[in-house]
Formats: sequence, C-alpha cells, structure tokens
Amino acid sequence: FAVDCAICNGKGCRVCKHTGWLEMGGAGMVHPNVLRSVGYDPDEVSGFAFGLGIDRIAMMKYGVDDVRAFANNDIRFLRDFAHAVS
Amino acid sequence: MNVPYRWLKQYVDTDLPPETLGQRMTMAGLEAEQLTRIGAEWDKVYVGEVIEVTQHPDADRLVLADVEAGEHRLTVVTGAPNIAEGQKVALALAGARLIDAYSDELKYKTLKPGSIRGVRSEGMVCSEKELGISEEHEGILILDSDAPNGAPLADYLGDTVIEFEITPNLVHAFSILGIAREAAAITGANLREPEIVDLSAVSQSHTLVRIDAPDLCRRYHAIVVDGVKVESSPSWMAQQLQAAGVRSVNNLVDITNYVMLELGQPLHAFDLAFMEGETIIIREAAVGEGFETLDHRTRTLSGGELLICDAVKPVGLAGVMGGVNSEIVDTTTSLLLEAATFDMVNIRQTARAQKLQTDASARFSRGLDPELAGLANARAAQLILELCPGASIRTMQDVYPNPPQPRTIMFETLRVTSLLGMTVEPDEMVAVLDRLRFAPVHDATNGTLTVTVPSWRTDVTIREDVIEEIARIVGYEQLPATLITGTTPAVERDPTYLAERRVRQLLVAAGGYEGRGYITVSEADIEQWGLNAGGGLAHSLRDAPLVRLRNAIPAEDDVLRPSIIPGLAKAVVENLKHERTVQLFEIGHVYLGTDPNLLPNEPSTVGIALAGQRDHFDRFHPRPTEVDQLDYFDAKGMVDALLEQFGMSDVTWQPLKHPALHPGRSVEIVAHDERIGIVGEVHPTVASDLGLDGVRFAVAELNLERLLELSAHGKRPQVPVARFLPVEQDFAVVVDQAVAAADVQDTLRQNAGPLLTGMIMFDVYEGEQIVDGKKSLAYRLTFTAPDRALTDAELGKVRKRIERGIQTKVNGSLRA
Repeated sequence: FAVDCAICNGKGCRVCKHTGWLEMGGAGMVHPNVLRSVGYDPDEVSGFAFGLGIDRIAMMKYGVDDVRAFANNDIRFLRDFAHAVS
Repeated sequence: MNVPYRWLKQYVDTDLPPETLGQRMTMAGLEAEQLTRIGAEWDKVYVGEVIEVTQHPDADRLVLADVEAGEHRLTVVTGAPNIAEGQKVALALAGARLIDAYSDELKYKTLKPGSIRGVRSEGMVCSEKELGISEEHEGILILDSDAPNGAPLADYLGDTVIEFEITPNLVHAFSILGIAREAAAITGANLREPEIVDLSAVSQSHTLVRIDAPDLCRRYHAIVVDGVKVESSPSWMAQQLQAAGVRSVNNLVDITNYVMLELGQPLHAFDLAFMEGETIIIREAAVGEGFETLDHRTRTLSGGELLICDAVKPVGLAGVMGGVNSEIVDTTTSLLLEAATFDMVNIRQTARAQKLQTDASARFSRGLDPELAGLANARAAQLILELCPGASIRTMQDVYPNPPQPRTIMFETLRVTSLLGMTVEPDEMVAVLDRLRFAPVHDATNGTLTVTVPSWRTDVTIREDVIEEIARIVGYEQLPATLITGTTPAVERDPTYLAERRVRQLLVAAGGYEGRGYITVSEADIEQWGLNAGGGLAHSLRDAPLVRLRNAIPAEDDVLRPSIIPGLAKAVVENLKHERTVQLFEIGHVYLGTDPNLLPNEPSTVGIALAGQRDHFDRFHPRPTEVDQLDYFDAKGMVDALLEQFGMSDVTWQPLKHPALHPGRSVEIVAHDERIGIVGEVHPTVASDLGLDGVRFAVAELNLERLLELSAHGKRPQVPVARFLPVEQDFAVVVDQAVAAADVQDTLRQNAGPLLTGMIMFDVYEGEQIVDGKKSLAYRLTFTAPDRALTDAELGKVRKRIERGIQTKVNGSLRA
C-alpha cells in the first residue's frame, strides 16, 4: 500500500521518484500454504499480515527527505528528535 | 510494457480516456506507471497531399512541393529524397513547433516561412524525427494513402502510450491482448480477440521437429513458409511497433515482433536457405559449445542451455536470441517460423549467465501458457500470407505431447464473504468471473461456484486465487474498513527490550545522543581496532570467529560487527567536524561466530563514545580558559550509572591491555570472573588514524545481555533509613603510582567493615608534597550505624584497621 508522499504533498519529487506516491509496505491475506506449514487448517483460520518500512514511515511522519539521515548519526539531525525518547 | 492506446483499442471497446483507464487498471493490480502522449506538440501539423513536385530552379538537390492540406495549400521547399506526387505527408505550417533534426539533444524550433535559394517556402514536410516519432530523418514521413486530407496530424497519428508494470505473477498481461482482456474484465467493455487462421488443412510433417530435451521444451510449433519477399513493413505495422517502442526492421522481422507484442508469445524466423538437413532439433548444449548470436557476439556455453539446431549446427539460443548463421536477410525466400514453450527456469538462467536479457527471454522467464504457441504461430503465418501475396505454407509440425488439462476449481460462495470481509452476491461473482473468462457455474442449492481456469491464467491454481480475482475486479476500494473485535492475547514484554529502554533513557539523561549504525564493518576496521588479534572489546573473540557475509553491499563491508565501537567512532569523528561536544551511544547487536554450521550469537550490546569539550559555555564557565576534554572518567561515570541501574554491586574493575586502547587508561569490568564490558580511552595512534590528533576519545562497551542476566541474581539488600546521623571522614592514601585505584578502593572497603555506607574518591594528587613515584588518592568515607550514634573511639579503631590493611595490601600509608 502507498501513501501520498509527504515530502512533496503528492506533487512528485526525488523521494517518491516523481510519482507523488510512496510505498509503505506490502499487506495481505496469508497464503493457505503458509498457514498449513505452521500447522493451521486454512478452512478453520485465516490470517493477514503486513510489513511496513519503518524508515519510510519515519520519513513521512517527520518530513525527512533522505533515508540516509537515519544512518549518518549526525547530532544536528538527532537533536530534533529529543522529544521522541521513550 | 508499453501499450499504445490506439493499438489497445483494436481489441477492447473502451471509451475511457487513457488516464482514467490507467487509473482503473492500477487499482485492479496492473500498475500504469507512466503515460506518454505522442503528438502533444503537433499543433499546426496536418495530413497533406503532395499535388505537384517541381525541380527547384536554383538548386539541384532541392524540389518545390505543392502540398494541399484541407483549406491550406502551400509551397514547400524540401531536399527530401523520397518525396513524390500523390503521397500523403505531414505538413507543418508556420508557427508549428518541431524538433530540430540536426541537434544531438532534444531541441525544439518554431517553424518560420523563409526563402530557400530564392524560393519562398511557407511550410515543411516533416520527417519522423522532427515529429518526435523516431530517430528517422533520411526522408519524410509518408502516411497511408487513405489518411484523411486536412485532418490534424494529432487526430490521425496521435496516441497515448501507457506503460504498465508487469510484475512476475502477471505474465498473462504481458501482451496487448492480455492488457485488453484485463481492461475488458475490469471495465466491462467488449473484447475483440484477433482472428486466428485455422491451420488444420495444412499438410502436417512428422519429421520436421525433434525434441531431444522434452523436459525443457514442452511444445514446439514450426511452420515452413515459401515465397516470402523481404520488404519494409506497411506503415500501420511500423507505426504500431514504433509506438510500442520497437524499431521497424523489415516485414518478416516486424511480424514476429508484432505478434510477440500482440499475443505475448516470442517467435523466431529462420532463413531456410541456411538450414542444413530436414529437421529442427531441440537439445541441450554441451559444455564449451560455441555459438554466435544475432548481435554478432560469439558465446561459449557452459552446458545445459537449450539450443535450436539443424542437422549440423546450432541455429538459435532457445528463448533468448537467434543465431547469425540463420537470420533473415534481404534475399530470404523461405523461412521456418518457430513458436515454442521453453522451461522458464532454464531460459532465465541462460539469459542471466550470458548477460543477454531480451524481450523474448523476459517473457519465457515468467512462464508462458503452452496454448499460446499454436495461436501465435498461426497468427504470424497469416500475417505473412497477407503481406507477401506470393507466399504459401509448405508444411508444419506441432510437437505437443502433453497439453495441460483444463483446471477446474470449486469453492463455497460463503467463503468469499468470510475471506474478504464484504458481501458479494453470487450473481455479481458470476458476472465478474464471466468477464474474466472463467466460465463460472453457480450451484445455488449447494452454495458452490465452479470455474474453469483459462489456459493463459497460469497464476490461478487454488480457490483463494479465484477469490482474489473477484476482489480485485469488484475493487479493493470497496472493502469496508473494520477493526478487530474480541480480546487480544496478553502482551509479554521482552526483558531485553525493556532493559534496552532503561539504558536508553539513562544515557540520554546523562547527555548522550542515540545513534544507529550499520551492522557491517570492513576488514580495515577490524584491523584498525585490533578486533581480531587483540580480541574483542566488551565481548571476547577468543572462541568467537568473525562472521562474514557473501555478496555484501558495499563489497568491503563484509564482516558482521563484533563490536559497536568502530562504527560509532566514525560517527563521532564526523560530528566533531561541526560540534564541540560529542556524546554518542548505541544499543544494538554484535555478531559473535560460533560453529561454522550454526548461526552466530547476537548479544544486545551498548556502545558509548565521547569526545570534545566537557564544559559548555554557560554561567559558571563564561570564559573557559582551560578547555577540559571529555575523557575516561566521563565514560566511566556513565557506565557507573548503568551498573547501578542494574544493581550490579559485585563487579571489579581490572586494568586492560588492548591494542586499540590507551594503556593505563583502560579497564575491563568483570563480574563472576567474566568480562562484561570495557571502558577506556582510544589509543593515540588509533585516534590519530581516525583524524583526531591530540583529542582524548573515550569509549565504553557493555554486554547488555549478560548485564541483564546477572542483575536478576543480585537482589540489593534493603538498607533501612538511618535514624542516626552519619559521619564522614577523609582518607588520603599514598601508594606507588603503579597501584590501581580499584585495589585501594577494595582494600578500604574490606577494612572499613559493615559501618561503611558510602565511599567516594575525590582527588588524585601527584606533586610536590608527595614523594616521587607515588600518588595520593583521596577518599571521603561515610560511616553509619543503624542503632546508635558513632563515637570517636569506635571510628578511631576503624581508622587503625584501615591503615594496617592499606599497608599490607597495597603497601600504602595514610597521609595525615
């Protein structure tokens, strides 16, 4: 599933490769083969799963436009998140 | 895949504009990535007819063309070699914006009337390059003779090309017809499948084809056609190919490409004149076998690649590219048409190994419907007969021993509702599945639906696949949003995660910033930090070999880090370029190898790295003259706080020798005879290598996993709040410089006895008042008795005991 790129508000930019959309992750119903292989009967249970790109979500939430910022450990960048300690 | 809207509309009767169609298809799973408009700039360009051509009076190579386009009639001066009376052409009037044909980069020019060698030219007859259709600029663009005179060119030739992303599971959509089927199913528009000629009357051979590798070639359909003539393709075919992004070559090559794009089946045509023997043989290549492909590259095969051969030699690299030795040439008169189903894995491997990904290999690699081969070959043969009036089919053979059985799938209609979470009426299910050509049969009594999966839907095998089809055609946006109801299982907090949080909060409160580094380091980093030969930092590497990655990106960073420090140190160095004070920590995993066949251990670890100015410019330090640098003691302070957090009172600090750390300024923290961490200053050589000459760089690393395990065991005894006042006494202990403070501290504690409730070291003095070679360590001890006020006499005895202990244990004395 994708969301409107928060960096350019859907207009298109380098981050969303000029499409206006940023993919957040895949989601869907679990394939019956997977359910079977862990011992569930797909006739009895169903499941859903989603995988979210944490970096992407942080980029959208905080307006970070370069994913490398999360790995650079630049104090000037880290300082902005002091409020987020949990 | 590029789908020209005009071409698409030949198979599906949609009146949705391209943008809307692209959007609907995207929501149903076929993403329309880009739309390109051909002819957006063709303002003032019309379909014209060349009425008369006369020689230019003053230039040998130029002619004057009298061109009429509806109400416009003008004279054009042109040097085009292919202009002739009666042609339909693209006439551009003054003011039209055209591409500069003589520029290497894309540049537009506005057409202005002007004199060319004395004759006024009021317009221009355009080439394909000037219109942006292709790079062709040898001559002008010639339109079909039935092009409507005077029509704006944009109406006649303009098109929108929709680029669809064909994901690996959507091979059935990898063709114009496939996209048309999807569009018809999604929008409900009428589908018009191309007519495929019936070849049952053609004489069948039994010796034309021999498959020696049946596991790799499920079907081979071959048609021999005589009486062909190689010419340029009719403009309708060339234009459609061009719009789809394929260059027009000649009629025969174009037909094979056309059918491949149209139906999704790659075809190949061999010139029969170069084929030796009477049989086409499909076999595996031998090791080291050589073959020259159409791109004039000789390839050495590694054995196992599928080859198309005649009696003597290979003539094609199956599914990837044909051979130079059998390609269609201008003089070709007879050819063999091949349409086959090759094993998808084999073709993909060959294409990758040869670094030769082609339109054909892209399709084979996704796994084609074997039924397609027969249809496509018949279609190609039909087109050849249409385009070459003298052509005829000599013979054919279809080796297809094992056609797939039709697949039927049955499911309960209620299951659709339960799986999707929305109600779909059986009528709607039937309608949707019908549009998808699944031939649904609804049994209302039993509440079941049975479908027969069309052969081209190789991706639909189980009932969930069918239900997914229903969902995506009905529309995912129709799915209601609901929340989970009912109780969720109780959450059990992971103790390591909780411990990490406590560490994080503490280190932030101590002034640190949390970093997050990469988990890989390079061999150079390992060397620099002495991590191999010198052992690890917080973790011993004695029995823990380094763990390496294959195919690391970047390639040099192929070691999983055995310590957090190297990466954290780099971050500190970078930050020092613009910050005066840098205090970084990281909580993460390090990787310690175990058995080569087992996964490594990944203990949670805390790394701390400090460098820079200690005191900030503030009210108490308005004019810092001596700039204090963060050092070992600052790191130790953080570690002390952490150890206290975890109730670790039973640890000892022992001097540490490590090649990357400053001797004399580094310790290991030991609990239960095992190292659980280190604190130290980086060795000046290492600091200098990092670009930090003269900078004191303090680091610490703790094994958080072990810390957590041990902290559970030591329950701190409850100390009741004292009812009597404590007494503080200072002890200045003089010892040799080489004596460790830890030893002095331990001696003090042991000899002070149970009355000791606090001890803090507040000074280290080496100077004039002390004998050379010795140092004075000053401690403030606090004594408290739980049930009485302490007397001088009692404390005097303690002092004497301490004095004796100091003398015995560390050869020290108490300064007065």
